[in-house]
Amino acid sequence: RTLGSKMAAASETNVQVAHVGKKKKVAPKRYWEHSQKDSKEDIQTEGVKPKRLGHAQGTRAQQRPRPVKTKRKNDIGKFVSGKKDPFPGKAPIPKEKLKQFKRGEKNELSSVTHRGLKDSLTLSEAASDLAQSQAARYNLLLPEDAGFLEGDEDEDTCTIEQGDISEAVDITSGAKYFNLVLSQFGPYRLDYTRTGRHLLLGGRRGHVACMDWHSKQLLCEMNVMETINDVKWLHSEAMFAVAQKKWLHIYDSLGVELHCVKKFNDVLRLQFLPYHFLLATSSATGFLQYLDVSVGKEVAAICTKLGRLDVMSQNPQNAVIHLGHPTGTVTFWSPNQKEPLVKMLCHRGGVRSIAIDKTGTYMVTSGLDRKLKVFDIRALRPLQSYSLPAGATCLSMSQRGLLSACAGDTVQVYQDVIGTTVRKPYMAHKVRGSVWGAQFCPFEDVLGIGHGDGFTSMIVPGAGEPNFDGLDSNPFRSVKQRQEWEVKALLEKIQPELIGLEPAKLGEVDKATWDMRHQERVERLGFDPLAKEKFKPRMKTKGRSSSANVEKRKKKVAHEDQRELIRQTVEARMEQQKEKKVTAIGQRSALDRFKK
Amino acid sequence: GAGEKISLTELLGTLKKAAPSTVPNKKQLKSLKEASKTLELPLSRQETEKIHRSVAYDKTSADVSQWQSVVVQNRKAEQLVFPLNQEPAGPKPVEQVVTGWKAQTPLEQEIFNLLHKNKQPINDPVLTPVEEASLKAMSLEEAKIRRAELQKARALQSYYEAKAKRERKIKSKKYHKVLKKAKRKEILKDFEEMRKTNPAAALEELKKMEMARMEERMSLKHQNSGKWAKSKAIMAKYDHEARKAMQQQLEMNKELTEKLVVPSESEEEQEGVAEEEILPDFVNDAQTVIDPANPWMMGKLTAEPPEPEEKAAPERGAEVAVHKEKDEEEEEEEEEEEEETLLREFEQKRQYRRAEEEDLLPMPAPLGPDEAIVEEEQLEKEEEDEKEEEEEEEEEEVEEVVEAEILEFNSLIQNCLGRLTRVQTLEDLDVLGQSVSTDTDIPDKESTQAKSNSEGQPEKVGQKGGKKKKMIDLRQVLTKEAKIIKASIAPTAVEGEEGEEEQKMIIKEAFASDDVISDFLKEKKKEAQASQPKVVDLTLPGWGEWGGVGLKLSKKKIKKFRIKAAAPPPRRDQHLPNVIISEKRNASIAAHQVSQLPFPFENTTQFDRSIRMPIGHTWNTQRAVQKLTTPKVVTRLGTIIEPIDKEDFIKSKTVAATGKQPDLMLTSGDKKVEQNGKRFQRKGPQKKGNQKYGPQKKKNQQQKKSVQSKKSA
Repeated sequence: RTLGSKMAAASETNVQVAHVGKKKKVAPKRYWEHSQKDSKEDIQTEGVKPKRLGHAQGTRAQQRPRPVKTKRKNDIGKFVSGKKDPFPGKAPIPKEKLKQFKRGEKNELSSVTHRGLKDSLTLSEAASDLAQSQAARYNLLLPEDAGFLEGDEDEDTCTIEQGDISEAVDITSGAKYFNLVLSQFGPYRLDYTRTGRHLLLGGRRGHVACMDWHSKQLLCEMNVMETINDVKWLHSEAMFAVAQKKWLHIYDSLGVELHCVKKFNDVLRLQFLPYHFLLATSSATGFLQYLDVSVGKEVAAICTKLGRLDVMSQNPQNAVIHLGHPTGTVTFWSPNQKEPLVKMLCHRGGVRSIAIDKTGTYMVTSGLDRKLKVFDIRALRPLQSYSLPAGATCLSMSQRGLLSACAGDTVQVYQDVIGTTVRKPYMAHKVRGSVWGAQFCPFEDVLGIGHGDGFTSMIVPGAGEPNFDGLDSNPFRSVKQRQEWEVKALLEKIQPELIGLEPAKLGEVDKATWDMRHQERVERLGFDPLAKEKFKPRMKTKGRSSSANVEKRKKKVAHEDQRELIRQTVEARMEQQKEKKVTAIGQRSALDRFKK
Repeated sequence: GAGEKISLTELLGTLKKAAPSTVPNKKQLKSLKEASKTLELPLSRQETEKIHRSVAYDKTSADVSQWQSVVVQNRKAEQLVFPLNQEPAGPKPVEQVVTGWKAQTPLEQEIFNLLHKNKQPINDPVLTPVEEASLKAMSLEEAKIRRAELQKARALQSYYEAKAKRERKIKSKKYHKVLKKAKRKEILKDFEEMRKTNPAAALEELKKMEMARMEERMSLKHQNSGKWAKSKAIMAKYDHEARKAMQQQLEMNKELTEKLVVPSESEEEQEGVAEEEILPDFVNDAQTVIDPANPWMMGKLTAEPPEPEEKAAPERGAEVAVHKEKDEEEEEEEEEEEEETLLREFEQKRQYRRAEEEDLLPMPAPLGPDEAIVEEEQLEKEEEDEKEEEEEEEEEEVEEVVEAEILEFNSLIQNCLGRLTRVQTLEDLDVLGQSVSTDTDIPDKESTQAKSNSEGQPEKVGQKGGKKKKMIDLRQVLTKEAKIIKASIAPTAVEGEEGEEEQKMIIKEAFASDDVISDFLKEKKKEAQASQPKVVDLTLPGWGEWGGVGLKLSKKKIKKFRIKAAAPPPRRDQHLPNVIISEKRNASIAAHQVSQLPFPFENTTQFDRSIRMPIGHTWNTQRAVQKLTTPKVVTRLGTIIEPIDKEDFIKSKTVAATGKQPDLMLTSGDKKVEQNGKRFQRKGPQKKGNQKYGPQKKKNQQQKKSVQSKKSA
């Protein structure tokens, strides 16, 4: 399968989903359209000509082919004959596109004095310009565009029901709205893989099921006979982690228990950092732990001392874990630091849920004070504050910035919460039983909802990213491709030391002073490698190593050291005094000579 | 005797005969001559060696400097492919491969026709006509003409320069006076002319004159007050000349300070005046306003002054922040209980101030009046609902609340909200307190402004500085922004037990809210204190003075032995009241960072920017990756890489120098060689003193030879 065909498939689904009352999608203008139209017009004019002359009499349809041929021939001849290209050179790249791929500021060459450096910098700047413009130009290859649900006049989009949508759209898209009635092992947590192809369900009362939700093909189903707090896919659909009552367990896609990680107990929430291969867990005992899935080692265990940790989210940009606390604070954590990177007071009541957008720029929190707040993570400042009548749990951000908030048994989806002040939801849906987990499916216009009565897959037009990176997360990949990807991903694994608030820091020169670095080194090594060695008197024979003698020798050395120190201080003081004298001489009075 | 002549030769003859006496003289002369002809001493060994060395140095440096350009070029090159002088890879032009080939088939002929049309070269000359034309761009004749022109220009320039120099050196005052006068007249004349032809430039000129007038009026230059003028004043009584000079100076002053009256003769100027008159008054109005804060000073059409005040607020905040730090130190000694009481007080005042500030600030995204009312209604409904549900449960709790708190709340709400609604119960207060900002959306600025003015609260605020500001900020952050209450279309199902539990939780949280804030503030303060450098106390009690229980250390000693470290840089969360940012350095990432600035870079930003571009496939296109990762040096497998041949690069150099004129090469190749020869010879005379040394000569010859051999080749 080529990339193109996959993309086409994606586009189909997208178009199909967005049928209901949607803006008519205008196909993007293609460069060949213009020429085609022209040629058509030409055809018509030429088609008329013979009629007038009376050479041929027939239907237009019959006549059409002939003029086309002649026209084409003419065209070619004209072009080759040296007529000027009306659009010489490469097609211009729009400035916004260029800006999108701009990476930081350019070096100012005018300030560079070193000639060799200037040359090398000009070369590298030229190369980076090329890279930027090419990236912008190749953006043309992502032709898919997302649409949104749009109601008739005076019609609220949130009143449109799922049934109506699924009836209106084509069968494949309509099939994406479905309910799984699983009332027995009630409320469900869920997780989609990064490709959006597979779904993992974990019922509170021990029911675990994973499936390919497109084809509704069940991979495995079992009951772990224990309370389940959370479930999470690992890097691929081959493995998943389940936070059970006591320990953390890892199963494969057939339901075989691979590991029972007994270092991780009472886990409440799970997060998987895909590029670091880290599974972050937060426990009821207040521990935040990181498990390196690629080597099976615990990377860090941090005692947060902030009580029960049942609100957890990750920042996809810098892999920082965000935890919410009953004191209304949100804390940011990295495995490298035992204290929070940032502690932020967000709500007056406890924090109930956190969601972070794809770019890692905005954070949405909801609290017990029934507020929904939007924060800018870069500036750590609040942007918007909404007050919801019933509060919100289970926040989730879609790839294109839709926000789902659940309250009791209702699910509401908001559009553009960050930029503008929203007054009403974009979509709403009611499920049976209170909602326990909700997540947008990547690359699909679908919101998965786990609730007391099973699972509901809800169609939310415009939620998923229409263009996917085939090398990063490909929804249509085969097993072979997955294996290839796995190897590459492991080779490109990012080390946990690099997790921090600013990932760009790695590309900067470390400006720490020598002292600071030395101190860190001492801390790391546990001793000071540059420290002066303690004097140890040599063993001497014939009674010269008697304890008194040894002590005497030690003292001798110590005195010498001290003498040196004293000499230095005295010299420094003398110099100071000299300076003082020099300054003071001008202001001396006659009576100063009697001073002692 | 008379008439006899004596010739000189005869006399000489006698001299020869009488030789015996003169012979010794001759000898002496000869010996003298020989004595003066002594050999020069040879130079000392050191000196000769020195000369040898200097010569050798010159020679080798000349030799080595020939490599300079090649080295620089190779260093600059983006990529070096070794071996260097290989034939260019890729397909060669067809013409080179098959020379005696002709187009035979019709297709070939057609293609060749096309090529002909585009003036592509087919046969022997590989260059296109355009390229050839560019090569011929400058012939020898042209170059000569141009050179002559340049020479002439240069000569003229030097001539004018000399003239100017001469004129400048003339010391005659009269001459300069006359010159100045003439110049001035000319300028005036020009100006008159310019006014007619180019009014804009004239206006500029006029401005300059105006400037000169202003300068003159400012200075005392021509006011007869200088040293010279005073001396002349003494002489003026007797000296006619002096009087005249003084008079002249005064006249000059008058002339310069005279106001320029430009007669409005031309029509254009009249039009200009008319335009000015057409402009309404308020255009100039804004400039005349002195105090932007005072709305009465402004015209009707100028904007209202909320913005400058808004700007002023943060400034005040900054000032306060400075105070705050000082205050914090004092606070250390205070007990926690005190803090809490203080907190409450501050909260009260903060509410005052907040109400004020909100009024002053421009309302973000003003709601339509209808919406606002609807929202308010909703709010009230909710409140009522809540009241009904919760009153019974909450009464007990309410009783427990300290009286002081009730008082506080009452006064607080009365101050900031009393005007809007009547407050009846504590819960109402609480709910209202939470939704202050929504209420303030309702536009009644004027009343609040009037109120605040009448109460004279700004003064009060001014008096209480410092630490309150911080908490005010915090409160602002937590509650201040405009909250939008959305009408939920899909109603929430309140499930019996869970809902009630939740409600309880919410109420608890609402009452605990203040503690949350104060706790956070305490924590933040603690953190800030921990990051402060500690004072090192080296005082030893009892040293140099009496020690014991109840005795205090002397101030002098404390001053001397307590070492204070320098203040750390300001915290990053300094201006973010609701955020604590850890100041700890991330040492783990430091291991991967560049710790020292690499060599040619001059500063860190330069380096940072130079590596800002990712080079991987994930972020770039294939071509870009190839470009970004091109190796500096490429060696071909299986080839012998020989050092650069001197012959090669010299040849390439000469070719490069003459490359632009291939026709010259063909026609006057001999001349070229001669020129080359000359060039080498020209180098020779510079080291004329060294010419007697063999190697140099030999080298010259060698070079000549090589040139000749080239020619033959």
